[in-house]
Amino acid sequence: MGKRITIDPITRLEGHGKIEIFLNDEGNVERAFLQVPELRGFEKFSIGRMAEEMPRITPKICGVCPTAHHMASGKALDDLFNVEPPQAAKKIRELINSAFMAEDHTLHFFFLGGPDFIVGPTAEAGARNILGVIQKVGLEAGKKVIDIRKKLRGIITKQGGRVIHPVCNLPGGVSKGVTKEDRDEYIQIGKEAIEFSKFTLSAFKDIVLKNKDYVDLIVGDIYKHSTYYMGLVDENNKVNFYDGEVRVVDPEGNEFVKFKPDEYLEHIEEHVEPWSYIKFPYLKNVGWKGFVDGKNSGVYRVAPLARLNASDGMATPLAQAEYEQLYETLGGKPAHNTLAYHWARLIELLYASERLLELAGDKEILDPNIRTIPTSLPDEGIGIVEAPRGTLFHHYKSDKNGILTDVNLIVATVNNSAAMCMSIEKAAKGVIKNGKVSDGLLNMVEMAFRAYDPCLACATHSLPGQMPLEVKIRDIKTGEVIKTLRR
Amino acid sequence: MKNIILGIGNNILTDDGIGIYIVNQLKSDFVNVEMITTSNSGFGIVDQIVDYDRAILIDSILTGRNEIGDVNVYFTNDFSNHIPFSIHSTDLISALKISKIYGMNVPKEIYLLAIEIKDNFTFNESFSDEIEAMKESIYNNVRVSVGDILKC
Repeated sequence: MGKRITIDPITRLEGHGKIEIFLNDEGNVERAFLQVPELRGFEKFSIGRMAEEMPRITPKICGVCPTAHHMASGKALDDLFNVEPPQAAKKIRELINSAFMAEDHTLHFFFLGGPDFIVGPTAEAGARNILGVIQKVGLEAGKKVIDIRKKLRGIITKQGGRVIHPVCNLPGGVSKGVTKEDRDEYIQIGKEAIEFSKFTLSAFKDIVLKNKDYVDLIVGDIYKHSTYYMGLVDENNKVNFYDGEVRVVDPEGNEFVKFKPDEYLEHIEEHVEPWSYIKFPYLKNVGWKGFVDGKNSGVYRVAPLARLNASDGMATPLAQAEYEQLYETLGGKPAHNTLAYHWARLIELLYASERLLELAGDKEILDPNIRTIPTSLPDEGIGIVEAPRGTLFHHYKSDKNGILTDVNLIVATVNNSAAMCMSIEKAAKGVIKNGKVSDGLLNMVEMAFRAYDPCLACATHSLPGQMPLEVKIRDIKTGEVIKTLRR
Repeated sequence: MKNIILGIGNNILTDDGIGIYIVNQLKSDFVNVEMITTSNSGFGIVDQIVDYDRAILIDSILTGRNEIGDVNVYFTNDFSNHIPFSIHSTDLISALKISKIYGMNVPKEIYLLAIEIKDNFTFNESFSDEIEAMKESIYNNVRVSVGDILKC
């Protein structure tokens, strides 16, 4: 008798999504899906508005990566109005984005993905949270997390105008320069963030890499997919979060293509499935071959591990050393191990902190020339940045008055949607056998997508309420609920 | 007693912005009380209420168990058995627990004034018809509740 297991809603995932797992008569996994059952329709909401509103509106799509949306939107407006921001403005934007990346990666490790390893993959659900992490790593570590998070958010607040929905980006630059006093403070925060990153990497190595069971899990086959990888790189092919060209490497690590933002539609297409509102982007010049990996499948991945795989290294010294250690440990580049996203994320945390310090220490950032006033008529603009969860595309078209006529966003998580489905199915097949479905096993399935740090863009806040995880096991023939598990 | 009132929400998500709307109205009623409108959550809210004696948080809620427009007062203890919702920024209750562990000076009194809404998912700068029709009475209910709390 076939069965269906539903994980709805998924815990620790922003937005709405559910996992459906279908068991065959033997109780083994036949298929598994990550479904997004609701359509947001933000692009339509934007059409007819003034283009200049977009940097203020797009951050409100969600409360998770508002700063990245603000950056992509600001860059899209530069392009739309055919204007080049002064160097100081670019550096201020990158400084804010670096602070945001460092803060977000910190939160993911300690709050979202970290509990899987630090507390344990099969630990009781109620313990797999930040409080469980603090119990495990000690009170002092928790204090460091709270402290650095607050300081990094302070930079976003001061330079961005508002922490949760920044307002500083304008076509051609930013609205506020950096004072010498603020710069000195940012330098201090950058130094502290580097120390914090080193501490976090050290904790990861002690808790995860020294635990054979965890290492086996990371390098094991159930969390592995051989795909293409995408990320922004600078002129030296080093990881860059704010600017550069988009580089894609094939599953063997060879450069497949490197393209400029305005060429993205020549390389990316989106596949649609009837069972989900989320689209499945793929490499147009490889083609959609279904939810499969390998060189013949256009499925690609983005976000931390993908960015490292798609680059030739990190642009800062400490992060570069960690980058080399990661590939040495995992047996070469590219690394296809999905759970290694956690490690890559911490290397990026270190890079973001180092870059923050570099930018704060750059005298040019004090230059009061922070805006180039647009003088040409608007037409079309594309802005691409790296968000914590991957490459983020904003594409606007407007009439000559700057009223938006077409908007296309490829949100970071969406790039990983096909890979997430594949990872969930592979993990489910690996851990659910003969109908045996425990809470711990289901968490191991969830770990497959949590490594991507997915965000399905929900409201910016919610009053605390019950948000239970419900797992239903159904008779596939009658639809009858055989068993219900709740957390 | 040092008081702060927060209006919480996202004003492009239909009724989600009702807390912000109400607090903007309240500013002329309680001129000596500090008020902030915010889209923050979790630790972000703790950052804004730390070092105050009393915080009143005005937000929307969608339970489906109340009439649309109902205003209910909750205390943090009412959520003691909750499961965290947003982990990227952690939820308010966990953030408060952690803040207390580290001896942060969080308010001794925290009131959550929750307005039952219809829709917090659709991108729209206007309220739903139901909330639009009731927003003045909701404001009056909240104003009375806030007045009562501040008298204590």
